[in-house]
Amino acid sequence: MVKAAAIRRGKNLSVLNSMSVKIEKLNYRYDNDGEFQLKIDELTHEFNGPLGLYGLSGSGKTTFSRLMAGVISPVSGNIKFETESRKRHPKIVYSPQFPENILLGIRIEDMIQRIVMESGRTDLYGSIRNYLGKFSLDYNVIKGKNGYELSGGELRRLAIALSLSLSPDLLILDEPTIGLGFQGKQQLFTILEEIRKSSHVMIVSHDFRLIRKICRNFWILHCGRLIFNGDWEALRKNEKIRKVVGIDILSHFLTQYFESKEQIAH
Amino acid sequence: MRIRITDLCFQYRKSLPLFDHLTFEIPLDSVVAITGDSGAGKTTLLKLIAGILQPAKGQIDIIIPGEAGNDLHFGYLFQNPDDQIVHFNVERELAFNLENRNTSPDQMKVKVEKALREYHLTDRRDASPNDLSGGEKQRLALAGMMISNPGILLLDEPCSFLDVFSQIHLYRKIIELRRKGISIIWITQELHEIQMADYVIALKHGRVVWNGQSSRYPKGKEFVRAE
Repeated sequence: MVKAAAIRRGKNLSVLNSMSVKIEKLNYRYDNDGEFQLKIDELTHEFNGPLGLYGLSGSGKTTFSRLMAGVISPVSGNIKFETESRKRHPKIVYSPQFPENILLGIRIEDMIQRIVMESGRTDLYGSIRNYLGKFSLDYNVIKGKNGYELSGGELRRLAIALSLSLSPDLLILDEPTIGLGFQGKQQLFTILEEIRKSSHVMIVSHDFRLIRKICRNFWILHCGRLIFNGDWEALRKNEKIRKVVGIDILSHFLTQYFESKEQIAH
Repeated sequence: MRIRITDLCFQYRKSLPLFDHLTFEIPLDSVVAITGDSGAGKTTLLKLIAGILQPAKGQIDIIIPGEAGNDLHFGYLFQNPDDQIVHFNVERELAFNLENRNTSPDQMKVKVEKALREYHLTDRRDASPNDLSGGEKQRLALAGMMISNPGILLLDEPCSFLDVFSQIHLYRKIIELRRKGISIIWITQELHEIQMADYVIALKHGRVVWNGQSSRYPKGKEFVRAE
């Protein structure tokens, strides 16, 4: 909790290159799914501390974050990033919601070799080993294994470690804590505290408690529309939005459930 | 009703043994939470119980009093719904489990319609599972499992991909199933879910490090935390 709070406070941001994003008339829909449409008319954001993208399932979080990362292209409209240098497009790394889909069926060593070759950076080996170590993964132990021989939590830690090693300007972590467990979450918080000094971070999650712990600013998507862009103070005052996306519903449910359980026990 | 695990040994290829002569019992007349950190062996244990994996040595027995076991079968919900879903269409996916159990076409139609309504998938009946969101996929996997009325449910972190409304929908479902006497083994790393269960088994590096009533489970999570 202490570490999460420290990340949220956003200390030492001065060493980080400033970056902003401007989104105009963004429109996306899947070819074979007529109903869903992601539509954001206008959005400008200056990255300043970890950003949280929250929404219910089907709200378009993963689609939006993949558009941000350039993994998919919009049907129309654009997303423009601006950095201090203005000379280059920022490096954006997207760590996917389902790393299993990428990491199964391939030996870990072969995959890492491929990443290093494609990046053209041999120093990447050291960086990858470093981040694997921070997530309690020993390269020598896992290198000969295939993805399916790792547990769900190990696969996710591997995927995040690989993303971090690429030194991105913007790191987008899609549902990063699924399957991580208590220790893995603590390790992630520690690493995020370190990485935010050199990279901007965007956390995408359906778990608002996680986003609240880490992030300073929140984007909330609902049915393909951005319905909130602001900090906790603004969200705290906006009861309508909180109700629509169920910000308080879990704690209400659990309070009622445990109270009734206690009454039955007595 | 209980599961008796005797002298269980299991290891993945090129790995150290995960379970090394493990012996313990899981009571089955309640909701049992299996917890522990990543790599503790939770999912492997569940797959061994379900028969998806075979132990190198040892035995897993389901002890059922009387004749209650005749129709009893497991329902298994994977951690990642993509591992569970096999069809290209939501409706066909729901029918799949029933097709394997010789259900008549009329009965199948009724049960599929009921499941579509119950799990809020009616609007997505013709969609490809690839076009579903993570939460929708998990609801489809859950509905596909429940459609054959299994007597023992094995749930592998079923809330991982669910948004808060679907999560509460699943909690209500678990409470309802418990009232109906269905046994549930629930892998979870969330403290509030451990507290919702009746009995807790904590694993660490393939060993049982704590088991007992959930009301006695230490809130400091010291048994979950790996050194």
